[in-house]
Amino acid sequence: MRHDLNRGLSRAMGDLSALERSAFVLRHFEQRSLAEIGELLGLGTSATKHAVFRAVRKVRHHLQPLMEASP
Amino acid sequence: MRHSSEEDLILAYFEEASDRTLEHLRACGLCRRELERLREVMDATRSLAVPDPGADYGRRVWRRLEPRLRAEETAPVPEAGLLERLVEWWRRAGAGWAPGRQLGWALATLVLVAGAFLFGRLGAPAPAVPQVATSAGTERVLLVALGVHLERSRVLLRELDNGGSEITAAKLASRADRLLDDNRLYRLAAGAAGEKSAALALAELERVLVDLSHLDPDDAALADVRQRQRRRGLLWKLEVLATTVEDRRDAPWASREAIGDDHETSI
Repeated sequence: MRHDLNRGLSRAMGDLSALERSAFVLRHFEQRSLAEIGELLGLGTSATKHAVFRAVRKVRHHLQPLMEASP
Repeated sequence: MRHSSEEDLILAYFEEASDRTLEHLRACGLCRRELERLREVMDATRSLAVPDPGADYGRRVWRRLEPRLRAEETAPVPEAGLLERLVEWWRRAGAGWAPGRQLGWALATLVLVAGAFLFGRLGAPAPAVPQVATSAGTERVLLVALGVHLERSRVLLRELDNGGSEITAAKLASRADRLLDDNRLYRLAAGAAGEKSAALALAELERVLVDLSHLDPDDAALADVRQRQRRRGLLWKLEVLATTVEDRRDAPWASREAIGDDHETSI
């Protein structure tokens, strides 16, 4: 299961644009605020939020079926 | 009753939900269950290896760019400053890619940002760098230029750190101001390329450069900036970044190709 999730996450990350990936990693794994991420990536708050939204949607798209299929 | 959107739930997961969303979640079991489904997936990823936002992206960039850069070997290289050539190089690299491709989009964004930035400083002299000769040479020129920028920045910070009586706020402000524009472009480039560590270090450097460039001829303000950069350990971070840049600059092209062999995913 863990192996599948790792592969799923890897596939999901490959599906993200550079900005989406940076925004996702900075928000989810490094717990940076949206304001900080916007500053780092040179984006406004709204664009930063939408990069995170798109990234989470793609990650869910790849991982949710794997999780729901597991016993 | 209007249910929470997926975006509302994502913000709630990251504890940035609006009061209205929180109020709705307290009252609505359906939305709470949907938030739980999201939480299960997102929490599961935390136990996995943290994805590197930069490494494979960088490799894929180079796999994609390399044939185009080779085609440029015979093309005449216009006389221009580094920043103009950097933008032009990105523009040409991104021009042939289909709209909607992730990398093309990221580069187009970067070019727009960098272009707007450059147009804002017309007339400012760009640093002189060696001519682009080969595809590997193109990357090397960029890395050399970044290395020079980091070295100048480190010299400035060391002077700030050791600050003798001969160091004046006016001199530091003028040098910081000259470094600031280039630093912004490198930071944007690092961010767009997903080079997280480099972008973070350059962002911290930028804050110090901004502080220095706005210094008044006032010793107290200078001491304050000095203290902040020491607390951040910025000089050490720049040493690490400079070492990484030097390693990449000096790495043989063949070994860089070999690294990219594991990443055949389309972009």
